[in-house]
Amino acid sequence: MSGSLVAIAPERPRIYEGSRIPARIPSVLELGEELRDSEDVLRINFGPNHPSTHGVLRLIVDLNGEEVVGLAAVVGYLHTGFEKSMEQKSWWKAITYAPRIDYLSFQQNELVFVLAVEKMLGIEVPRRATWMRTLLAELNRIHSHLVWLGTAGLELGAISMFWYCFRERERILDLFELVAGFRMHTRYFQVGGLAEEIPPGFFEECAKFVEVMPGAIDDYEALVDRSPIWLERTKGIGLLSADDAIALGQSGPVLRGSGVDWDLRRAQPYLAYDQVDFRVPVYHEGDVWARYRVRMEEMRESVRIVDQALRRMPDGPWIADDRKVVLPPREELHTSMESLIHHFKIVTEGFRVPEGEVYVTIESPRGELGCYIVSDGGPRPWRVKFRAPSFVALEATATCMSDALVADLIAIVGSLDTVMGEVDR
Amino acid sequence: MAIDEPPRLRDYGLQSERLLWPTKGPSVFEQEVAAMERAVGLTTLEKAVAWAQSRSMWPDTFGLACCAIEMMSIVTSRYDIARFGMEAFRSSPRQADLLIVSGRVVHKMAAPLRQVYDQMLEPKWVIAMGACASSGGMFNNYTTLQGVDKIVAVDIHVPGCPPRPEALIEGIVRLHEKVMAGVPPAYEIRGVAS
Amino acid sequence: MDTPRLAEAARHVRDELGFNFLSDVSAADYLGWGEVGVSGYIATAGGRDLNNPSTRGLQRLPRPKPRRFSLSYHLLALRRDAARVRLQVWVDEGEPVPTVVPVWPTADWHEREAWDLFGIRFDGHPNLSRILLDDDWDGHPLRKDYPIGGEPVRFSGEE
Repeated sequence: MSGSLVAIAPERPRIYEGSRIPARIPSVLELGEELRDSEDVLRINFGPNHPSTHGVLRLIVDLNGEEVVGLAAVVGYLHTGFEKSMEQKSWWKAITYAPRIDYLSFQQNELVFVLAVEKMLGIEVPRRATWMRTLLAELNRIHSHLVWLGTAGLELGAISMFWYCFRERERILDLFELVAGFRMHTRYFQVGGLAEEIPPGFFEECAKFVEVMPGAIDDYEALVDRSPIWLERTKGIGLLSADDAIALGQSGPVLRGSGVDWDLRRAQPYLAYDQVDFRVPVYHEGDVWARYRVRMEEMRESVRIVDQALRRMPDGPWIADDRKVVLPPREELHTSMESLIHHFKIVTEGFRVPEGEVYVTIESPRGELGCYIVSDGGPRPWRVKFRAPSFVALEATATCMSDALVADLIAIVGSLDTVMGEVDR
Repeated sequence: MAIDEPPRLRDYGLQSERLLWPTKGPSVFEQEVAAMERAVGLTTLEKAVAWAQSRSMWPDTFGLACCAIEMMSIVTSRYDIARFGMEAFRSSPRQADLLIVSGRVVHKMAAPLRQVYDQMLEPKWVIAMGACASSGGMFNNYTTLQGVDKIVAVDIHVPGCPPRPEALIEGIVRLHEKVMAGVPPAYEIRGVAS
Repeated sequence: MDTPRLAEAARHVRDELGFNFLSDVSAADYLGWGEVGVSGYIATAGGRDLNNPSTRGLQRLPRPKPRRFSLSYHLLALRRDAARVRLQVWVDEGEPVPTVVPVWPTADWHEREAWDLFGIRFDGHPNLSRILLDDDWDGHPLRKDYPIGGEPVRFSGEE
């Protein structure tokens, strides 16, 4: 397989012929010639505040009866200026901003930022921290998919799904609270490892969760997998071929649901992913149902990864030893003058990251989450940019929306799993 | 109860007073409420109306960012706000009583927020959930509104980033008590902050 | 790389070298780069050597940049052993850059974001308008000469 494009195997059926990317503007579906002056076309504003709980996305939709004939997405209703705010803060404080960008898989944002800083610093992270980060990242993936599934079910009418999914989500948040003290936005990852030692009792609770979770996923599948309403509403809807998906920069479940076998955990492994055994689900239908199946199976695989991480968690320090970057242990502060000075310098001014730029990507539940950092050698970032997969996923709405009805619009936007905090940063 | 001692909330039968510490003096909140009550003076009919309003206050789906996820989790079975009669999140502001602004409000979103608030029928209450809605949170920059009380009149601010579901429910319970005690909604007492 | 060759280079990279996935288009503003020197313990980008700090007590200025703005195109080829490639273009204030939307359609919104936040114009972009900020916003916030904004925090205890 080396050297050849893994994108499309020629013997698989193509999802549709050619490319459906709108010709003029790739992200806007424009009215066709014959409808441009028609009086039947109704322009509707799916405003920033609407019950589809994806946050503040605004869609300007042209409808010809029930058919969607024009679509433009307007974003920016949550643009909080993360990148400029992070430039004002020291490297440590900037980590606090990161989880709020993609607020469903918060620790993955922290992870990508911390990985990028560590890459520029050239620090080696101890194995215990790496495995713990892997475990928490997978718990985050399950969390994000649970919220997605709950809200997607809610939008399509499978309202009980919401309660089922959030029941397990509460268990995951209990685990996060146990390990880091706070349910969401834990800020548990630190440059060099973890912020603190893993508290006792976490592994037992996590093991209990791992036992319960596969049964819960069976519950979710039992609710909708064979329901004719769910199948009608998701099969054949929102088609996106592999070529179009790659051209539009899609990644994650959207790409894997279109038949492209690409997962950063497998292709460019980071953390401990090259040492755990997991499958990468790929479906070839390219519709909403395929993306749903990809995410369900990813949840199962994530539970397996968590299980393996629990069994193989190594002992050792939880943070690197480099005193120029990492706080010295508190016991030393009483006796060692150098430790005191290091502590003082790190806390007040912050450590310095050498000059350079780096772009690190990880596989977040939405796709390829990237962090581009430019440092000028000082205690603050010069430029931080997060490459948000949801930003790119929204560019694909116009392409997926060919031959869609209004009801399908909701299903398609839901299946792209966008988080507006990430889109707008 | 002496004649000059101001009535406490628990004298109305409300349970959220800190029963573990019965001798605790009235909190600032209560003193304000008590002062306002002496000014307002509730009749029985008004008490009945207030009871009805607080027992079925329907929120509007105004989830913006991370706090929205915690707001969604109060509907779920562990933190169940259906026991307060509030599980019916109305999407249309015309049918909602309570606007829980959950998440950071940016200048681009301020206009839709104000529009939604204006479309709500009176009486209406606003809870500013989280640090970002209360005061801009950690985002003191060119694009974030430093507190949603700059554009709407807020009844209750709930701190946290994001607040735990229990914290939000505490805020909701206090709002109910305010309503029961006869405190008018915020737009009658104060305007927007400066 | 300079801007006129960007369109041709983009096509070459996509067609001949097989980088069919545009991951990100990031702009950075280097106004004020190198004015504040850093001294003390810093390492080179290659790694840290605890016994060999680089400045030895002298002020060290970062290497100067050719122009004010850099535009980095991060590319990926979806192959098993693919590396990542960064194409970097340097532009000055007001200088337009040819768009790569015909090569990688996903660049559409990325370039709009660069225009919105930095003011870098893209020639040939079908829909260059503000995307993250209000349509009538003045200025380009992520430039270094745009202030962070916000309000001074008032504490309740002070007069």
